[in-house]
Amino acid sequence: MKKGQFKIQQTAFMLLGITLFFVLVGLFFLIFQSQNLREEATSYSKSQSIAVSKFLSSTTEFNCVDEEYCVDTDKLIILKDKDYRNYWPSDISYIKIRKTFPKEEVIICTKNNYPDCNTYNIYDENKGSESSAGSFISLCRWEKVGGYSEKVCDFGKLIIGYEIK
Amino acid sequence: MKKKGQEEMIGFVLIIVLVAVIALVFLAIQIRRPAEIQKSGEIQDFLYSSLKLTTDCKMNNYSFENVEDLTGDCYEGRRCVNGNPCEILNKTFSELIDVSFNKKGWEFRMFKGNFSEEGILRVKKGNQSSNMEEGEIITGEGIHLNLRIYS
Repeated sequence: MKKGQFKIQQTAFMLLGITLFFVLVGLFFLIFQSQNLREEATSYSKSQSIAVSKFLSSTTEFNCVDEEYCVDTDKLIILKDKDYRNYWPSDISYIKIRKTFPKEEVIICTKNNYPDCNTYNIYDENKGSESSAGSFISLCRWEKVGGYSEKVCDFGKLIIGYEIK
Repeated sequence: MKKKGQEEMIGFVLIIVLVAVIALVFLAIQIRRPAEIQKSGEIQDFLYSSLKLTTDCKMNNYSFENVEDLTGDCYEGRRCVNGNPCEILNKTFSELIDVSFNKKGWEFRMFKGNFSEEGILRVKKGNQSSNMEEGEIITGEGIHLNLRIYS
């Protein structure tokens, strides 16, 4: 091989190597960026749902009097059948409140089985593709124990389902 | 010609070795950097919501203590009719954290004043890792509840 040919071959290999290197770096950057974008979109929807759940647990229709992080299930069982369709943001797919502790089989709450149940379906609009987010709350009610009125609280989660666009 | 080629190859190898060493040093610094404790709103909500939970501790024949009252009972050394408040708290939080967070491990601490190793109560489960989130609240009686979740 002549010296000139050798030099051309060397340069060609070098250029190929550099191109491959930059292509790989570019691909890596693109993957990283798209992952970040997806994470941001998910976290936005999630934070919106959490905001809705916080709002719901603090509205006077549902909350315990003068207490934060608390939903009054006595109010909930009466209000859950009311039509709140226009009350929620349009991308909200469903709203559930579930007693999570102690862990039990799902029993949907109605006026007939309350309080021996654990899941309150507040709102349900089947919107196809959906994901969910929520926040922890306490679920309190008043019970008559030994002739006295006693506040009994369980632990649960307010779950908001939202449409994936 | 052959000698010049050899010199170029040695130079090329030297550059690769240098870049590799720099990359390794950078990687080592990144790995050794202590993990920052991330404050979590979710854990904070969890702790606040858990305060109202009615526990198994009976103070008389008809009323049961909630978690917040029980933390005070545990600190003051009071007793429930049916057991020790600290043991009931230990059991309640262990089960509550297990059903609420499906993670690698967790550590729950209850203390008054400054953060201390043992404090009033310390419960942990699973493995610790550098990927950790933490939440802390203070009850009406000034007792700190601190929860760390490892994932």
